Amino acid sequence: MKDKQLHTPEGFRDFLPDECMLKRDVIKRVEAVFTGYGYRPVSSPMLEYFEVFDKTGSTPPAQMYRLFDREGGILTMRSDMTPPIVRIAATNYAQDDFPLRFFYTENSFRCHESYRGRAGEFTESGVELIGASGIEAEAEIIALAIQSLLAAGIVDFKVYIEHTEFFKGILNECTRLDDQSVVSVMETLYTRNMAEAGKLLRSCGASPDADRLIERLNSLTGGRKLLDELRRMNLGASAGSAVETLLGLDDILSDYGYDQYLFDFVPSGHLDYYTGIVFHGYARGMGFSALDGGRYDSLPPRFGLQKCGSAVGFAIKVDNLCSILNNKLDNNGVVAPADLLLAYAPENRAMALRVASQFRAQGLIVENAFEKAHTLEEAMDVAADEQSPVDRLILRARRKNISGVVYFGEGEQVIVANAMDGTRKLTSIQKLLREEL
Amino acid sequence: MSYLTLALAKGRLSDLGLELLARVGLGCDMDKRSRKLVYVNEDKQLRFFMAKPADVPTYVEHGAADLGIAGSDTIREEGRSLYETLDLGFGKCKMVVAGFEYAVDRLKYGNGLRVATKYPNIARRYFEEKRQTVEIIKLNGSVELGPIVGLSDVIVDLVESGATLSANGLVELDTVCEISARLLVNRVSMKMEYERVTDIINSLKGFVDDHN
Repeated sequence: MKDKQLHTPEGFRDFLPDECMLKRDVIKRVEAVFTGYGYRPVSSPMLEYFEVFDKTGSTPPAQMYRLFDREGGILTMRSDMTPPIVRIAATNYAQDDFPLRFFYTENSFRCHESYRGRAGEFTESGVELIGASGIEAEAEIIALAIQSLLAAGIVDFKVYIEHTEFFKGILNECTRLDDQSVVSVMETLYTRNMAEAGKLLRSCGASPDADRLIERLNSLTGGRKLLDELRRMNLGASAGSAVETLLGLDDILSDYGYDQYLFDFVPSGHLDYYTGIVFHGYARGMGFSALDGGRYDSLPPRFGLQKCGSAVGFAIKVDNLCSILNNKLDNNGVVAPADLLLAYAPENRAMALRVASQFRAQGLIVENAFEKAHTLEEAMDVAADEQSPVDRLILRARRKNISGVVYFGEGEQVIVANAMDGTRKLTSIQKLLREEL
Repeated sequence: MSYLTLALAKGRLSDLGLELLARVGLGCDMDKRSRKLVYVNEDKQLRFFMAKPADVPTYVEHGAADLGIAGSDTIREEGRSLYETLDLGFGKCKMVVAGFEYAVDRLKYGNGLRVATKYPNIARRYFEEKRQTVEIIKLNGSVELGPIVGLSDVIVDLVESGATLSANGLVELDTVCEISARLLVNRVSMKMEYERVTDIINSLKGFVDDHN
């Protein structure tokens, strides 16, 4: 029988120090980018009322962990950071505070089917820009997305920008398509199932224009050239204005100096609350997206934000970034937990701790070996077991990749050893206090 | 240039899939008797491996394979998040509801209907669309036995020629959907390897269109 005491639930995991350090480092780098653009941190509770997410198009209900409060109200482990942040914006700020710029790093939770290899808990670092409409706001968010991936150390990536209204617009222009057929065709587009989409369109007699576009699905991804080409086609009002929006966005993004993006006119299936631009960041080395974002003007009004109701944002999937970075790391050596290993005789404890503090102030990591030091003669003695206490400390340091050992014996003398090559020198406490190592 | 990896569904579809790939110059020598799992076409920087049909969508979803060839039956059943870019036009068959002839009346009223199948998700969706609540029993093979030994009223299964059904006195009662082999693409590979993947799609599409 499984001893549950020794396991984590499926989809949940522990992070050991090396992974945690990488994760914190990634978070620190992307948050520095957010801060530089005037975004300020917010934090929301892990438990929310179910109603915050329900019917927002955020998360399929089956994927939400649910529990009950004392009054029988339904609570949920948050599954997406965007609705809680819109709630924060709607309930804490006056109109002239807008636009609001928030960032967060939080864990969200989703309940996936068994044996699918999907995480039940995941960390996201993201930004939300609330109360700013138009392409300047969208460009800032996409520029931030690109810059954060670069700052995290991801090199080989591309951000793909889509527009929710492009295909929807074209399909809605087909007068003989009812709403249900539009939904069905969109769903087949999400999986790039040209065969099915074409069949559906023909069966309800869509215009040859739409049919031709479906035929071309796989060449509807590209840069400026594609935009210019689509602009010249007669695609109807809403698809046309989607193309214009993306053209404007392209201009601003090149002013930001970025070219790590492409436009994709095939919708890839996204959260239902997106309205307008949607983007995904993909990086080599990971089968899933590294970040997702877009405009979600439909969400703020649900929380009572009628004015200043436009919003755009994105979330980086921190765990996905870490797994890309982790695979790239040279895993030859163990990451050193410290720079120096410290041992002292009780009579020199105060001095040893003072020296250690001094090293720490210089940025070195000093680890106490909890090993009682002897007189120098004993320390160097290679009598019975052919390993002196200093030898043993050096070996212990080397095993953990710690580069040095400082040994405060009885009396004034200190041994400083290089654990890598085993060389050691004698020095004094006074000297150590005076100079840097 | 790094390898693109293609997962092929073992069995029914693999011979036809390999033949199709060879015809468009993307093939490789695969020695059937060998126990090797992965084959390489160095010229095109392609890697191939065979997997159980139901696992192909999983490999592609996670990006362990950039591309995959699998039947639309397993794709529907698995419901993975991936691109289903091309109908390859081979491996055609039908997903049907079958049973003894007299079960046709039973099928009109779902209430309490017992359905044996290897494809519980496809079966569930089919009956949901008909607004019928049925009891689905998952089997792992020889599904035709269900009605014969009285485990279920009907079955939902693939039918190619119908020979197995008629040999056991069963008939097709309704068509659930048409099935054929599809080309799957991982969502990230589609973007990060856009040109190479699109080239493969287009050359396969060209060949398939010419032969239909």
